[in-house]
Amino acid sequence: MSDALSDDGSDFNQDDTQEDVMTPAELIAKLEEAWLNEKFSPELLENKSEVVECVMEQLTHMFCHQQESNLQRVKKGDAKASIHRMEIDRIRYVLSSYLRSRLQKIEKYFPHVLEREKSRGEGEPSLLSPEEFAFAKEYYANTESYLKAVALKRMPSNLQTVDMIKAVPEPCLDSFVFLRVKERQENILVEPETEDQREYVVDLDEGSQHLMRYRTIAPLVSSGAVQLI
Amino acid sequence: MQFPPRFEKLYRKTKNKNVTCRKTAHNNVHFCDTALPVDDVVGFSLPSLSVYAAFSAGTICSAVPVGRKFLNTHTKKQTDMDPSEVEFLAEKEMVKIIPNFSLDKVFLIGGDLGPFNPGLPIDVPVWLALNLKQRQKCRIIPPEWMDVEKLEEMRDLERKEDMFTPVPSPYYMELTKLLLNHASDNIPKADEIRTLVKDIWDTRIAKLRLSADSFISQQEAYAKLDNLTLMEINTIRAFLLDTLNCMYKLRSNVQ
Repeated sequence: MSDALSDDGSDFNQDDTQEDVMTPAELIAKLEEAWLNEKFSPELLENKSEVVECVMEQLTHMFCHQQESNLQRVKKGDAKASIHRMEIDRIRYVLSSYLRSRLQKIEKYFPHVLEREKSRGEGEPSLLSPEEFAFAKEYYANTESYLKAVALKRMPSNLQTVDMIKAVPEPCLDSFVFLRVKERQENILVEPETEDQREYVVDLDEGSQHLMRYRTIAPLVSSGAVQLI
Repeated sequence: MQFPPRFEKLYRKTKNKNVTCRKTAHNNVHFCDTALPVDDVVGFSLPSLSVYAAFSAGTICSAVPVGRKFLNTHTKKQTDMDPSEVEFLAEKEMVKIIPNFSLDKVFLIGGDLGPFNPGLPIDVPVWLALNLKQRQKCRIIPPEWMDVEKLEEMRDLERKEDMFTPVPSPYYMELTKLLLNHASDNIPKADEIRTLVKDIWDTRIAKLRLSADSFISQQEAYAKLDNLTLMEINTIRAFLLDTLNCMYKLRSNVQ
């Protein structure tokens, strides 16, 4: 998996002709997809750390390259430098918005996130990056000590514990989301809203847009077959 | 008119904006010919002078300026998308420009932009085109669909059909606004185009409102929305999704 995504930053000067290496343009497209998915999904999605790392690499490379060429050529470098800078700013915005929405979700659902991370199997992809994991644990510890210091230690001793998993609301997987289909899907079950309706199946055609519950299409979002919009 | 400093700020903030008031005393107070029941939290446009008068009379106990900005920051959820973010996505579309400078190939992370030669048209992303135009380094050529006859046809088709018709471009609203704001001198009949696009937008939003209404009242669980652009979805997203989630929670708690 890692060599399919290994991106040599100095390749940005020519098109990549090898098939198993992602071009920088595809990398940016992937980042934007991950950003939109994370923004609109009610739960924390899988961590796309390879994409994040590669994009950071590209940005620092481009930034250093621009610093060098600025020192060499002043006038022409100006026009090119400002174009590069604008693009770097745009990509940096997407990246930081992506990381920010992940952090917001971690803060909102921290006990459930930590529980999911603990109980995932060996081969499954990780939900949190190492830094995010450290952040979640610290947040948990801080919240516990805060509650203790402010209220719990004054309670009778048999009521001094708080079960965080019960105290913090779970993400609502039944929320509705808008989605666009990238790969054709068949026989997606639509559950009924009221008792007198019956469940039915729909086919999702490529390129079409739909509005439905998140729960039924959650696996499709993680596999990349649909895109939340 | 001189106000005490406390109300001066309120007056400045609420000039021509909505003011939410909670009433205390009397049964009825007449504000601009509208009677308010007691202890109601009401929000409507009061000229700030009446608010001040009501404060001093003791008939309202608090007034909260609920301007558009205030509401947005208060209730913005993480699943909301700002219209400026939709515009951000729209700026990735390509548009033709005619530069008046020369520059060799630029190797951006997102792709290469060919050598710029004065007088020769070249495709660039909209964000770059707008920046160059503002620095007066290029002329923007309107996209093919931005033409009065084509837009008139589309508007008539949209008015005839009940369903949503295919759009000229998935970002037609943002592109029209951006290009007409910054490059209206390069686009012939800019005002007519603006009116036509606005008509198309209004018709589509009206249809969207009707279909959202029927979606909720018939308690559907699934809807297909081809041909809807991101901007249109975004205008209704916050309200519709919140409503559906709320209704689901109410329903599932009853059963």
